[in-house]
Amino acid sequence: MVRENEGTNRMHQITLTQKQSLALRQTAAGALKQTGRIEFGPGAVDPIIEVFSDSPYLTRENCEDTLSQLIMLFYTFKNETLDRISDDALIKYMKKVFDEECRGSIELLESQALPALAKKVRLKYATPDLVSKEI
Amino acid sequence: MQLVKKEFINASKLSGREYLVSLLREAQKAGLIMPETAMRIQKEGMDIVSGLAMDFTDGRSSSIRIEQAQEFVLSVFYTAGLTLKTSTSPDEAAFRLASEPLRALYEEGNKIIKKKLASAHMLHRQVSKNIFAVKNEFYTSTITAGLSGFFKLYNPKFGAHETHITADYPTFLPVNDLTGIEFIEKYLEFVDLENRFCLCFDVGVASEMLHRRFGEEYECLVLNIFEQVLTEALCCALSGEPVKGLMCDTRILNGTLSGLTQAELSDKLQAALSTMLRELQVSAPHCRVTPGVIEYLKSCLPIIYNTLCPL
Repeated sequence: MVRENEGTNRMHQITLTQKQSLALRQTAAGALKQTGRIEFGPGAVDPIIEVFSDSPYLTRENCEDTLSQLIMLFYTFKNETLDRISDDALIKYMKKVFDEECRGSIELLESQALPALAKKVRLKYATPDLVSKEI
Repeated sequence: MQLVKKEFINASKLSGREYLVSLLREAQKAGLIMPETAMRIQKEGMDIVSGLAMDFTDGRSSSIRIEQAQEFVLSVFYTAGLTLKTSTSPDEAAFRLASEPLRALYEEGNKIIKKKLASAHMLHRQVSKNIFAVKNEFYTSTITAGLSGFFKLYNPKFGAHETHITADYPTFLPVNDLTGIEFIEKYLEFVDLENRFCLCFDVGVASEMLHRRFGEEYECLVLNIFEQVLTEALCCALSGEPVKGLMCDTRILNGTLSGLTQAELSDKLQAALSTMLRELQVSAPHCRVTPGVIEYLKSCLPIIYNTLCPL
């Protein structure tokens, strides 16, 4: 969970205001709707914020927008990876490639790194055995 | 004067597949369940679904696809619906739905599924061991491989309402408006009754009869073997020929049936059924024409009657 301090989420050197936190939750609600998913429990927004908080590519100016896009990508690729990857694993993978290969580019993350992961997962799991569940 | 208890819910308006949802709808219409109770039931249903989602993902995913959640909802309501189906009347079922926690109904339903699954599994093993060995692709593949597939795939926790298999081999009396383990249970019951009856006949004689009727193709046609055997045996009984021979002379049969009124034909069929059963018990004492089989045969007569009518 992201610790809320004096009405804010502190990130790296960036402070996420309550308004921004709320906006990110609204983004998540929209993303869930758009990707045809339903959330139970605490959700994935806090873990995304927490993991990405030390990314060198997040700035005070771009953090809300970037996190919004990361949230959208997260739910999209939960679907694209056939629900075979846990929340934690997907967030960590996104963080790693975002900071390394993509060098902070959401476009590269969306168009290359995540589709490559989805392809790998589909190749591994797109078998007739629809009953198996390894998430 | 006899007092007749008024039923508020018309049983014919309830769905066998989605019993709980249809009961909830009809009970609300009849004023037996108030909107706030309906809300409470839906909320309790979502709580159970939420737990299922956690278990499904082993707690490693905070979200699931809506389609998956909808399947869980169907599964939960199907399971709780099985408990409600044990009530003596739809009104009583509605009372239980309104007054008992959904989780209690759901947990009782899980126990019912467990029992049904065990008895269906046992019946399947028995039928598979003693299958009437007439060669027919759909018959053998459905009853052995198809049903085994169901038992492998069926997951009552996450998809109690799912039937998984298409049951390509049709039973003579169709299994309608059921799904999940209830469908399989009823389907197996019918298959078993039909199989028990067919086992009173010689496989070779039955195969020859099918060959006469359909040619070589009978082995790959979708047809109900019991229907063919029963119709031929009844025709034999109607025309005074040995039923076990399964070789009816249509000229004699036509002569016997021509000019009969509908009522007379119906009486003749009833008499033919009795003759057939008597002959089978004498000539094939090993065959197990149980009261259940006899009841099933009686239920089939109206359909056989319609088949013979054009004669």
